[in-house]
Amino acid sequence: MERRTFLLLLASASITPMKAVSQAKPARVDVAKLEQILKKEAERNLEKLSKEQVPAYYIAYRVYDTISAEGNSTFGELSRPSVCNRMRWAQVQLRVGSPALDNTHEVKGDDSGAFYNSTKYFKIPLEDNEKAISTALWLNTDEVYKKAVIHFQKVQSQAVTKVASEDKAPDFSTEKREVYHEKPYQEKDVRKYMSELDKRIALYSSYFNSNKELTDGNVSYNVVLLRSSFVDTEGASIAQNSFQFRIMANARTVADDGMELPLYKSYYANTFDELPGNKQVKQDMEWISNTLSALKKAPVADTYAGPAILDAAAAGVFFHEFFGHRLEGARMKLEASDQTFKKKIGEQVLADDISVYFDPQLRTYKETPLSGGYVFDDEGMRGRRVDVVANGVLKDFLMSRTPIDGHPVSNGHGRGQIYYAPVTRQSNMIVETSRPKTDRELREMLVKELKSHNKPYGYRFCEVSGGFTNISRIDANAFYVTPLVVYRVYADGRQDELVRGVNLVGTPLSIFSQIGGCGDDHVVFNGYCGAESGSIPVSAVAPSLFVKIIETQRQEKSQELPPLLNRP
Amino acid sequence: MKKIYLPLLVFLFLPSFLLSSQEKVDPICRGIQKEIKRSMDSLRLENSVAPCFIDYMGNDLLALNVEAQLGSLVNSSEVNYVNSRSSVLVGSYEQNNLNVRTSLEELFGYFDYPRGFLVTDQEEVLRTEVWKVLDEKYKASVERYNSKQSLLRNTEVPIEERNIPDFQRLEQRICIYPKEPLNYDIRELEEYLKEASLVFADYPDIVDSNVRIYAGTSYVRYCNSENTVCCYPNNLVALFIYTKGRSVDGEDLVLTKSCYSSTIEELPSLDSLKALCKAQADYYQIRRTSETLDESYVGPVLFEGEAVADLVTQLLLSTENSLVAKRKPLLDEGLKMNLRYYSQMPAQALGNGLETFMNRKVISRDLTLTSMSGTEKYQGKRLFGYIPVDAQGVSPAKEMDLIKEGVLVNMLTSREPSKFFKESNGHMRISPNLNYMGVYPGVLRLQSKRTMPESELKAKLLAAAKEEDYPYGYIIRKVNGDIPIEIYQVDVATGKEKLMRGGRILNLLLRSLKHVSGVSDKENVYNRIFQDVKSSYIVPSGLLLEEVEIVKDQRIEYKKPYIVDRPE
Repeated sequence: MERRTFLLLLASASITPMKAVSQAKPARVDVAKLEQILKKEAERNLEKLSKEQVPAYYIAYRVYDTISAEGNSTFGELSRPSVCNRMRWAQVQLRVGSPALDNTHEVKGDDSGAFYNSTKYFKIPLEDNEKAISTALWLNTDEVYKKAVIHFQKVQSQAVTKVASEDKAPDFSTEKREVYHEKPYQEKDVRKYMSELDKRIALYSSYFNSNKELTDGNVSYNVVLLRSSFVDTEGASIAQNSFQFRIMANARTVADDGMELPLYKSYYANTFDELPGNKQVKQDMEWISNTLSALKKAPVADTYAGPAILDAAAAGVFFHEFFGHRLEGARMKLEASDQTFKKKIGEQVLADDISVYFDPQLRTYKETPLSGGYVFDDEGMRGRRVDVVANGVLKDFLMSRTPIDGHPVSNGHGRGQIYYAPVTRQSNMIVETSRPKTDRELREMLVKELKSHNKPYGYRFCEVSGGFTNISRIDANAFYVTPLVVYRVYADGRQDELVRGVNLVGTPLSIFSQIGGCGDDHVVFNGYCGAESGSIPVSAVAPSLFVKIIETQRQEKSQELPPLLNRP
Repeated sequence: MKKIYLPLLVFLFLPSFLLSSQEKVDPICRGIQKEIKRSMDSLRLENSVAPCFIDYMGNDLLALNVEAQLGSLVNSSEVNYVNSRSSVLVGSYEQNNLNVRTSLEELFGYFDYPRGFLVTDQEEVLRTEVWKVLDEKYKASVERYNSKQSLLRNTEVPIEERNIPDFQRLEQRICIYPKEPLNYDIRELEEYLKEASLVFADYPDIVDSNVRIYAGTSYVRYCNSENTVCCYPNNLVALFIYTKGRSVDGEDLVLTKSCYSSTIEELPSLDSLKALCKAQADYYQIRRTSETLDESYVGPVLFEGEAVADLVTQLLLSTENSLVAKRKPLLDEGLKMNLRYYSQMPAQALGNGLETFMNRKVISRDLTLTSMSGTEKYQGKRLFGYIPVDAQGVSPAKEMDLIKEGVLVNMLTSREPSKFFKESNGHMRISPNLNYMGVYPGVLRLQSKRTMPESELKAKLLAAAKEEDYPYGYIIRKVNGDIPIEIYQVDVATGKEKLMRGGRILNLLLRSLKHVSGVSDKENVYNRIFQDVKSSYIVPSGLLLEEVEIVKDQRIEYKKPYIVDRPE
């Protein structure tokens, strides 16, 4: 049986609101040559393949044209010259059978998964050379079609050899198609930032030099200009741009007991001007350096079950893992999936002050850039805001073009890297409360809860690096979040004490009822979420949370001794 | 190539000269030397052995990849890689942590990746990179040393094996060769490949094709605790012509022609490259309709052209009985348990059986195989496999017989002694990206004391085939492992050649070279890479083996025709 697990890794946690930047509205242009080539070849292939014994009924081509620049620095020196490169990858998506039942349908017991039997990716020329691109599309379409037919015949066979699927929804939704084209950018639009970013990262990593307790002190940048094209045989033709700027800092020290102690800070921006100023970054680097030195001396926390405060940065990851992944529609069609919420529409699933929505059209939240946005998803569907929870009541799911019972259409959340078939994934998740509490109030709630249970202390989880969850039926439906900075908060009013070495763990259903209050703050967590359709940028925005009971487990610890000699 | 080579003897009597040679050591090497010295002096775990030898290799590689398909660029990227390899030996030269394997990963070299490096004159930052890796290596070496001591105490190891020293001691060397930046203009290379790749546009049956260049400008800095410093270029230029099509009966026909050199100037002219592409396309056209080999054959086979070089590689270098001296490692009990699941003991766990044939006849007495790794030029041309200095700071001899008139007299060695070979002859090699390190040949020359013109060889083949009652013999002109890529059936009566497909060579072993019926009087030089390590083969243009077994290859998968016609 297939396990389904998800991993969220930090790409950026921006705490300080940034300067508002108006997004330049992309100009609509005529359908470009590339999209014309894709359209012509998709239609030509479908014309023939639709007349085969097992007919193809849908073909889509995706192209990722990526210009990316990156640079790295360590302790004030560039590790290597920065590079800027361009690549173009294409993907075939093909369906045989009919929308009611096709080759993407689950074959029970087949771990290769339906998604792998409907797609293939390959490189295509950087120039719009019709002959070369058409030939590559044709060749790979032929291969995917033959693979799809074999898989579809297994699907048909299982229709008589296995029990009927619980979900009766068709395999492919009927949707309105759109034509949307943004003006392309050039490589020089990326290159022009490189020398300035080189200078900045060298400066930022030099802030780690003075702290000899650090074993690593790195800062890197990554600028990606992604132009994604999507064309299908239903008439969709999309070409959109996504500009992503990231600066990532990571430093590390080793405690005397061998525990590796990393701290990260990263910054995401949709435009160069949105990146933080040097003054703010300097403060952040100094905070990392000082916190690591403090962590090195901090005591190791033991396992714990009790009340806690999750600062907003941790709360975003917490919601993404224990809640967000259970709202992704397509997986609820799979028999192996736990389907936590499938039959809970209309039910109270969170406290009645909490509302949750996903909105890929958002570029910023209260002036902080978000990384999980797009105009169209990877199935050519316009990304729409989805109010999944209103006042604690479950209202809707995130949907791709794989319908489930009661949810027949997509809301623009079919996402995936070019190497994988898109599935339902999260975009920008926003968690809001109608009864915000100040930080002091949250703290008072924590102390009150501690005292009522005669507990000497609780925990405050501040910074996290990411999290992980499992939603299959084969393993426990657990999630965990990896904190980097955790404080012990004493019930008797003593000063908070920095500790190290614990992960936050839990199971979804038990945690829902434990949220006792939300803060009046928010932090944007911009990260990468990994799942069966690859690693995609997402955002999670949430306020700080008071949770009546959480559980921690000790972190895995390196068994290596700290370095024997001092850093040179 | 200009070089500065100053053996220790000179330094001993001319200390002022030593100073001047040390001055030629660049700041990067000086930084590495300082950190090596500090580690030798101070790296010490309580109650544990101290380091006896440390080396560190830093590599600065600029890798260019340009690829074109049907007249368009698919990729054009230049990326810098800076990485390192190092070793820390603990104990003594006689007995240290070498020659013991404790896990499958170690045995097969999995996860043995290069580490980071910095090309900077900021000594403190550079030394930080060196410090981190040496600390880690030292601890791992102590652990391995202790495991080895336990094994030696508890295992019966033959005295002659027990007494083999683990590592050869050498004197200091300063050996600095200047950098040799590859001289290219990226735009020119792009146009060169684009134009050449257009050749395949005239061949509609070739469904996929590309022409690609990799140009790696590498500069290696090697320092060790014997105060040796060696710096040298390790450039690699590789040109690939790739075609894919399908035979009339559905066999996928993939052909790659590779041309290797150390400079851009050695690349073929545009006209020559186009001619190579055309020749490959024309050959494909013949091959797609060629007959398949159905009848098994055990008889004489004439290897011609590059197939001779590949035959030598396969028989003398890629089997467990290769010409590489190798000591049988001590295996830890846990590893032995894991190896029980293998149908046969992997070569990595065994010593080299060929060593026991020292001073015995191993191939035909007509043949002599000479290592010429220290020879820079042959017949006026620079040899691709020439090694000025190996990855352990040892320079190979200009000429050294390995097999003399059929008798094994020597083998390729590194500083890790084996039963018969206690000294390095300079063949520890490293790939330009530092991913692979091991004992590989530099330049090998195979000669025969009795030769004949090529035409006589073919006549001899036909006569021998007739003698075996075959109506035909075989000529192989290109071979890849056990697959004769280019094999011709030659009619005994007419001498007419017919290209065949679908054959497989069985049981081709070193002893096959004992029965050589003829060798041509013409020599060719071929450049090869094995795991990106460069070698040259100077071999006769034809070699007639008395008995080779060729059968139909049952592993070939035949595919259905393409459903849709290729785009116009």
